Amino acid sequence: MPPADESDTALCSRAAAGDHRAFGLLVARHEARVRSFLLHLAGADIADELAQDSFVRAWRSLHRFRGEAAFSSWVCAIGWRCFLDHLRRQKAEGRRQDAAATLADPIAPGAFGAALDLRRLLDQLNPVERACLILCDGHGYSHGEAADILRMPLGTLKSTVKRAKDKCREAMRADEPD
Amino acid sequence: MNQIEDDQALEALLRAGLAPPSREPDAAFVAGVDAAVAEAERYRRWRTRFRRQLTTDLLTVGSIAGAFAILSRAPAVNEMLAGTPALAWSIPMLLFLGWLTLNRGAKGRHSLS
Repeated sequence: MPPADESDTALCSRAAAGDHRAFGLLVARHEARVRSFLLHLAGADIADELAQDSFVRAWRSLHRFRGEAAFSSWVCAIGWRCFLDHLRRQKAEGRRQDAAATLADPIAPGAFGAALDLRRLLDQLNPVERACLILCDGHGYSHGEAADILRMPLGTLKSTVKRAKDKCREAMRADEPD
Repeated sequence: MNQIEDDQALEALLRAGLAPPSREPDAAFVAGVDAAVAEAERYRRWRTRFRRQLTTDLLTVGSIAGAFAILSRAPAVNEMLAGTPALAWSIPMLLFLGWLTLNRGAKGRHSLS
């Protein structure tokens, strides 16, 4: 069994050679981050399924992992693509009930009281804006890292983060009592 | 609320709400991924075997058909086949059935091993 303090890169090499235990350790290390990303992005109904799919795809693509980015960023990027595939499938099936793909109901007055309702705030954003905020403000990735994960130009990412925050501020202000 | 307070409240909300949780690994999730990976591996092996088998089968059938086509061009064989048209079908069918029987026997031995 690989030692628990082994680096991600070493575990990746072992896993790419077919070591399931090494891959299990990688999953154990990074599942919380990937699931949290997908939970805020796609909602609780589908987040775990997407996260599992992301790790299975990661296993199949391990030979392509070069270690240029952190393993967690790499799996989050796979998670993002899984989420986009999920949206495409939904669109193809003509279903539009997923909150991730559409704008949610307008914020009801009093929604941001003592307990600020983050979910309702995120629902004001489109999936790309939400992903940018989760990665940059929640997970602490730099703008460059987040742009790599989401495969978008750095300038576009920065403007998307700004637009997302403006929308959030606007929603919070709208909730304030006069 | 002024702009600065507004920004601070938003930043704090996003940091607190969107940060990944720091907790022990979820053993059930890890086991689920492990099972899904094992299933994906089984499927990948089956697909590889299936493709290999299909290629072999197509090559074999093609070889039999090709060999028969070449053989039937020989004047003596052509004359015989023209006299008895049923032979034109029965010979390749017999060859194909013979190959199928041999192939099935080999598969059976392979699956037992």
